[in-house]
Amino acid sequence: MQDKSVLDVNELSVAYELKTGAVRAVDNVSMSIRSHELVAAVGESGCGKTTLGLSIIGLLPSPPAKYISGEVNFKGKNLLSLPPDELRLHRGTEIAMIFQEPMTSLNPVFRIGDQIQEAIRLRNSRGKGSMGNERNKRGPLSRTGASATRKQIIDVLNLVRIPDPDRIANRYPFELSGGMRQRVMIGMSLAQKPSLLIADEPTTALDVTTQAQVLKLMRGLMEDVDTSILLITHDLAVASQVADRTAVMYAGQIVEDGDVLDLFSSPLHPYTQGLLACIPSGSKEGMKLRPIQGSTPDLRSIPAGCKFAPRCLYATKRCEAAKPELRVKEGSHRVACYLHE
Amino acid sequence: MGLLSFVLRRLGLAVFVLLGVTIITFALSRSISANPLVAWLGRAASMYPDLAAAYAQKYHLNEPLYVQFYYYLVGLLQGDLGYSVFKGRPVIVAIRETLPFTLQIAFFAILFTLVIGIPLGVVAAKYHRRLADYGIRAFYLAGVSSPAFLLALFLLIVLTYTFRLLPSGGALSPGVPAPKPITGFIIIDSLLEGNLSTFVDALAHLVMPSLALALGVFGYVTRVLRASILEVMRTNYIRTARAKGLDENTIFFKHALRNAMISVVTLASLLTTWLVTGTLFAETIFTYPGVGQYMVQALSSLDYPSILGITLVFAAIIVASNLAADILYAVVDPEIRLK
Amino acid sequence: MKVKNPRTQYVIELLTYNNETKLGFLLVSTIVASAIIIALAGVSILPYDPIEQDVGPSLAGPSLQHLFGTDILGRDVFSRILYATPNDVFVSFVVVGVSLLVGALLGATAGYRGGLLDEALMRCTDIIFAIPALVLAISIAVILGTGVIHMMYALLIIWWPPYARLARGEALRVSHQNFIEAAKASGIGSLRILMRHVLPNILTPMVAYATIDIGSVVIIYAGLSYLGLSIRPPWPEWGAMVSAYQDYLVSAPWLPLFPALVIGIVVVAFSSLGDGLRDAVEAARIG
Repeated sequence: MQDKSVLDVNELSVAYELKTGAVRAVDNVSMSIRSHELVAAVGESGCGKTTLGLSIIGLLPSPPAKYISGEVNFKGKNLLSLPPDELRLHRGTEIAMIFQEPMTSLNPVFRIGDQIQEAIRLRNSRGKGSMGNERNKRGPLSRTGASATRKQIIDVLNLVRIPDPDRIANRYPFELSGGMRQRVMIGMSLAQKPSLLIADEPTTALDVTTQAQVLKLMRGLMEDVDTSILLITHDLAVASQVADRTAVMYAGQIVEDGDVLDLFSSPLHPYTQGLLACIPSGSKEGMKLRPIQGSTPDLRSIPAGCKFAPRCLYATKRCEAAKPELRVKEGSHRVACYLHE
Repeated sequence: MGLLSFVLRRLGLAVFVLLGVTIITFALSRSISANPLVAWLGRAASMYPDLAAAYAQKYHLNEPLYVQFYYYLVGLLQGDLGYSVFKGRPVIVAIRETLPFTLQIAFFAILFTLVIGIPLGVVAAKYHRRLADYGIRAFYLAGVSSPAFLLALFLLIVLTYTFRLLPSGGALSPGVPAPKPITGFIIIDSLLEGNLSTFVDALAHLVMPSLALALGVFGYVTRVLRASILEVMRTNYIRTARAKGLDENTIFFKHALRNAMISVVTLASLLTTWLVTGTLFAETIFTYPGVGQYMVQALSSLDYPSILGITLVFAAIIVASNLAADILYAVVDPEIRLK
Repeated sequence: MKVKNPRTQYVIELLTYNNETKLGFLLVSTIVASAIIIALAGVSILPYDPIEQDVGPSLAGPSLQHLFGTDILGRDVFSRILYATPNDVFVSFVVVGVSLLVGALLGATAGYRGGLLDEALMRCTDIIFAIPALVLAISIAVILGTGVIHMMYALLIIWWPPYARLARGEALRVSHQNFIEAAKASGIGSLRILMRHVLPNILTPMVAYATIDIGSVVIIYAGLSYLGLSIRPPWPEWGAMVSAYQDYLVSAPWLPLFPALVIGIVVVAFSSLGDGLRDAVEAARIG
């Protein structure tokens, strides 16, 4: 049984207008996320995944960024057609986003508990009720529902497995480690009960052990709280640990996406294959690491054909002439490559 | 707990600095003339031989320098700053009489500085790189670059002579009786007496000297606040606040401003130094009977004890206000307490 | 414009960084050039002799013959203001220049070496900072006596601490960079490292601060001369002129206002240039 899709991105193109030219950061991207699903968007720096995330939540700096075409359909509504005030009402409580640098993402002069309280208050004032499946007994219009209790704040900290939550809530951000701060960020955003959480490289700034813990936490939380997650990362290994589906991005386009197991067991696009070949692993002991030749293209010039062609081992004249479309190969596995047509 | 140890450390530093200042004033006093009594008594040294003899004994002026310094400190702690011939009374008494007036000006000057400087800083940040920003910048540049006497004279021309709004000088208008000196602050004393007209008159006389000082320093507040706000708005935690769904007003006034204001506190020590310096000119031009005017008068009559005594008192005021500013900074920015 | 020597090119880029620096540079060059010309050429280049009385009617307002009017003794105010220019410029440049050098040496050594030397320097500057510059200058002046040179000495004694602090901060920042570690590792002596590697790198931000600081010296010096501690009449001096003409505020306002305005303009000129330089240095550092 197919869950209804929470997010439906339809042929979205976004560009940055700079002095040196217009840069097409997101080029005709279509993807969807269903409820209770963790989708990973994977790619190198500059491939447009962060821009994609920011476009969805509407936090793109609007000059210099410009929406060229496409739709971002969230629960049926096209977010790009909404006026800014209405869009803001979706932020936090419908779509939430956490970022890469936990060390600087919390306001240094407010205590942890106060910052979480602000998130809860916002949720309550928008009539979303309290966490879990309790309904706000007095109804969404009640004014007293707008405040948050100490218990609710502690609940949030418990949810993200922060030890000694009572003491931590009274602390300032600088007194916590990076891993703890990121947990607080996760808890704070989930406290607003968003249907979609966009996580932009949430573990990149953390050490490997903490990384694993945070990922496991996020995966686990998805079950408890009714949220889907879009996980943006450059690290395929991270995607393989927690994602249901993965989309591989290159130069602003999705070149392959599908179920994570399918993608890893039989990668179709030459770029995906190259990425997988780069991962050092025990089974490849003694073999040289094979990086992908060449470098990422200049996004100011939009070539006629496939953007990966210059670096691709299997490129043909056809690849240089026209762009391959993202087509279904099998089931939910899609690829944009002439090799598989 | 962190705050207490911080305060104690700062207090220790303050005491140390004050000690260093006394070394300087001591050195200065010994450099004035071959006769060390001149530093204490000025011309009175020759006028009142008995007084001179008493001082020579009290301060052990025949013994080596380090002994003299010790007794100098002892004398200071007892409040002895020498005798002013010009004022006809001990320096410490003259200072006690004039200090309240200067403090009144300082209070209102700080008030005006904040009332003018902070809103302008906020506006300049909100409209940065637009006309309002450039206009404000020109305004505060003019203020900061003008010597204190220019600002005082300018206000005098505009407010007193052109528009006849405010009186030209003094602490009270002629004919208005001074209130009974309970605290020494005529503002407070007149209120305590219930004398509203004296209170208003005293206030009217305070406005121009305070404003003259404020116009000279508000620029620092505006500039620092503007830069700080712009910097804060680019931080990651402001991005988080947006991602939470907060509206721009809450983000600006609650999250950003609170962080930006911290930088204003660091200005406090700079401000006090400039204010203290400015009172010399403002009080002279507005004939306001404060320590600044006292200093300038002592200068013209080469009243050494007064000059050195006031120097010491000014330094003490600055050290005290730096201490207060540091403590305020620690209260406002929790991270500082650990340093 | 492109120049062959990269150092000159760098300086030109700094000076033309934005509108503020260009305007500031223009004003500052005018002021400095005037100061030099007047100092060298003397009275002959001025429209009137600055101390000669009755070159015009007493207390005349600004006119074509007397741009800034005349004072009660019939002296031309414009000539007096011009003649006083080298004074303020010279004093401020000397005070800032010497303070810059002394402060840079002290601060860089303290910052680089650290330890007791550093602590001692910090405490000394703390103590001097506690006394307002003007007040301390007055106290010293009372001992040394009046006159331009004595005022300059008084200021020289007290003006170096901010430079020492700045140099120390910069030296600390630079000392931890890799090329210093490399120099130390290859056995170069401390003094040489200090002179050839640390000092040149801390100078640029210090020069930016120094430029703004010239304005501060002008203000304090004007204050001291206002209080009568500087030059003796009849020789003109901006601050002293304001104080002398103050009583004419109502009857002949141009008398005290013009010299006071000139002080303000000079300060604005140096502040703008210095501010712009500081922004330029910041940008160069980030970029």
